[in-house]
Amino acid sequence: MGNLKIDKLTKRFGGLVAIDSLDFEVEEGQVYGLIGPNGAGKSTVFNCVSGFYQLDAGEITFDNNRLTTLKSHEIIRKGIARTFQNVELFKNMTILENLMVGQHINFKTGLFRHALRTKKVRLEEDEARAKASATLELLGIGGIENTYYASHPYGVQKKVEMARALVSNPKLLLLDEPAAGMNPQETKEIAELIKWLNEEKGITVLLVEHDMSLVMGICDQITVINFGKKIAEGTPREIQNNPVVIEAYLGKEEANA
Amino acid sequence: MSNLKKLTDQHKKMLIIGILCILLPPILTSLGLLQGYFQYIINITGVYMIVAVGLNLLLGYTGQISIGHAAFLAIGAFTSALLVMKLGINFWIAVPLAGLVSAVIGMILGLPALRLHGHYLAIATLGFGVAITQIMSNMELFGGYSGLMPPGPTVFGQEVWLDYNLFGHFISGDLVKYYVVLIFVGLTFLVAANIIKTRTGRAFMAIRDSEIAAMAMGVNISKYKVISFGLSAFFTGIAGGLFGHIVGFISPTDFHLGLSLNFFAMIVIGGMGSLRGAVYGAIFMNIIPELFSGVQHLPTVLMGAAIILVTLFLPGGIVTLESKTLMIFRKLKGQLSKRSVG
Repeated sequence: MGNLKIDKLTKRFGGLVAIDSLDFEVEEGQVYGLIGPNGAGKSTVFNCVSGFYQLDAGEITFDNNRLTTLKSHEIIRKGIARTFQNVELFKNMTILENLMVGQHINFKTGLFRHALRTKKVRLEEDEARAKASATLELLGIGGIENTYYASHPYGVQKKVEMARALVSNPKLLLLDEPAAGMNPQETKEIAELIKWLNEEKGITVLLVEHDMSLVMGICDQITVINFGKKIAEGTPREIQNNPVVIEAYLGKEEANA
Repeated sequence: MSNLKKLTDQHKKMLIIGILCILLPPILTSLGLLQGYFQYIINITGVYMIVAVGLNLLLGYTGQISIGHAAFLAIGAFTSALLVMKLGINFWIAVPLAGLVSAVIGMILGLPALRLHGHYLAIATLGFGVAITQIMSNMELFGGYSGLMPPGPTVFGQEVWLDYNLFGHFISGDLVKYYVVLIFVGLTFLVAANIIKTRTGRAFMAIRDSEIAAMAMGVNISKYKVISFGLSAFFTGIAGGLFGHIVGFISPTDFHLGLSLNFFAMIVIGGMGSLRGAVYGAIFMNIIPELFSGVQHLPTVLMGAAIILVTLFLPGGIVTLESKTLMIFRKLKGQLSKRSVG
């Protein structure tokens, strides 16, 4: 089963315990939300899953493979692609080139064939180019292949980053605040897009997000963390009515009022 | 369809440049416009173009600094010279082998470079460059301070660096050297252009722009940095091999820090991350100073001023002038056609 299992994950930064024995499981086919107030440790969880941080304790498995021992560039080969909180596109490369890097692991040819640019290399390039264009089209931003990302509005940049993650054919997509900095209309579009990818393309999604309308609208299951600990887990409806969650977000007094 | 047309257009351009490179020097020579010494400078510029392309793969495309590349030139020059002189290996095999030896040493230098960034990498490569030539100067094998005298290439046992008389036209040995250099420059450009258009080149650029995003896309940063160092050293080693056989005399002290800094300046002035920029940089740093060589110290002063001006006003290097002049031309053309309509 293509489940992502987080098991007693602990991560410390010096004396600070950023994540404290966190458990949760994303089942195949779900849209799973990870929420919590600022500084709760959401992005730290992401960085642990995508191999950027070494764990201090615990285990992360996907598809019954241990991710804990893998280097960060090996994670994507297990079918996990990610986006970043602040857009991390390649600035001096065209959007097409960005999406070609996204397919890095799909290429089979090596340096010597590249030096000679053999027919096999050219075929591979054509295929990757076609796939990049098709993916942009799919996300409603076709035709911008030969432009640079900085010339586009933030909403488009976020979509390009999503496209770059999608071209690797991931089974699990990690989205770090996909709606950050977007206006309500763009947020709505992103929500529909995530839903569509999940339902039509069968991609499992784990997302961190501040925008509650997005999280509540599309997630099947939500885990709420605060100070690195899980304080609640459940469906959007359950989370919305959970007094502990309300307290974590709004503080005690307002919760009582 | 439009893609196909663009490709042929580009091929046409390359073909024209190639033909010009082949025909121009003998025509200029027969018109008396190109004398022996200047032909020699052009040959050396060609050798440095190969260095510039190699260094640009590392510096401009992968974003890794090196101010020790003269050492790779030295490694290439001495490897090729020794292979020919001591082992009797043919020039045409010795020069690529010199590139390979240099590549291996480049990859070894690349290993510590994995943990170093920015200034620290600059210092490390600088130290490497100085150390290599110091060690070489003190070894009998490399001829010490008196150096080695690498011979020219042979074809079927015949010396090639000779003056010829072809159908009444005088062909100098320097012109023959020019064509040998041209072959290597052409191959260098072909290979480098192929690499940057494929996965390897994109991995380099991805590392330059964002290491964390590159990692997330599955790019093995360590592997590609080492490959980039190796490739860069490979081209520089080949250039070194050529350099030795063309100049005919090499001493470890020729490959000093100043030369490494010159290579670095070529990339910055020509244009980082552009193969054409490497050409402009090599021409700018080698041919322009010769034009003012009549006055003592003037070339150095002018070059210094030029470097400051380029970094201040053309941060992308000389190569950015291409699009700028093109725009001016278009504007002029537009105004002219407007006027003619009016």
